[in-house]
Amino acid sequence: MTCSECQLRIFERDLDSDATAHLADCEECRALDREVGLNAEALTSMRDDLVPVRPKRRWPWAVAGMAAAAMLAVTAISEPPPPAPVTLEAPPPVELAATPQESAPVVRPVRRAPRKPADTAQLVQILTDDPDIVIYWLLDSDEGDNTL
Amino acid sequence: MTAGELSFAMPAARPTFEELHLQHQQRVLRTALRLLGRLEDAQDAAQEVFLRLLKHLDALDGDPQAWLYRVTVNVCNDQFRRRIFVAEGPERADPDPGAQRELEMDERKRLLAEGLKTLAPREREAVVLRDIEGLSTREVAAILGVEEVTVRSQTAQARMKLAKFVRRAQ
Repeated sequence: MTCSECQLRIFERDLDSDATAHLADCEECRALDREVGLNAEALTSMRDDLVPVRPKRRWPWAVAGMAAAAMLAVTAISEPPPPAPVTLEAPPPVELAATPQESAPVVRPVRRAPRKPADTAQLVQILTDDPDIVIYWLLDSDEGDNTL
Repeated sequence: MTAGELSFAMPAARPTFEELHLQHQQRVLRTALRLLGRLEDAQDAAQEVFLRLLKHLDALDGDPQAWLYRVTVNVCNDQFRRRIFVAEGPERADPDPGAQRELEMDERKRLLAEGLKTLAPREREAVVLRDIEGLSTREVAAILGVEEVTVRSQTAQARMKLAKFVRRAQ
């Protein structure tokens, strides 16, 4: 077995009897075998290395908490403005009251108030074939047209 | 359906994401660190890997170890392509030739970690999974999606380069 053949076996970590026999005679290959063996041992020991785990980032929550606190603080500071919305709410009813649509319901009861059945009612007498039967209708002046 | 049937139907033995995360976190981190060479990058990669695990948790059956290795390798490859990899040379070259004998295992490990950065991605993946993680050639081949003979060749190539790197650095 040549050195290059033996070295291939060394790197494959697959030493057969021929390679072992060559190692016994070749100092250079023996040194390489020792070297590769130590490397393999070191690589294997890396398996036990503890890799530091990234600490869980809690700062976004802290920032979120601070932001929420800041918003609450801003809200608390800006509490005086509540009167402003109240004053803003007041004008609209005034403007709405001035519109014609709003005046209609107000007028209606006024129109009905003076209505008196005695003044406006009309008596209609309807005669029938039977002289003993007479029909009387009492008609309202406003709604009478509607009923007829 | 009764409560008994319900509990029977529920996959109670199936580990939760938190359990899997706890169980495989170091393995994923370690592999990512050896593949990428930088702790920050490894932590980013591990985060991405577990994000994918969370997304595909329902589709995974059995032990997800091989799946995690495969995803770790893929995520590290993506990261590797994205960044400009600056291979750092050995940090020290001891002028004292006698230091070779005093080389501690820690120093060798440090050199090997540096040497891993100089490997081709496929060689690095093979040697990390085979030598550091201790997987079999067949397992590594399945994870990397290559033939076993390819894994053997890449691992041998990686070991040779690492040996040269360590020797030069000493």
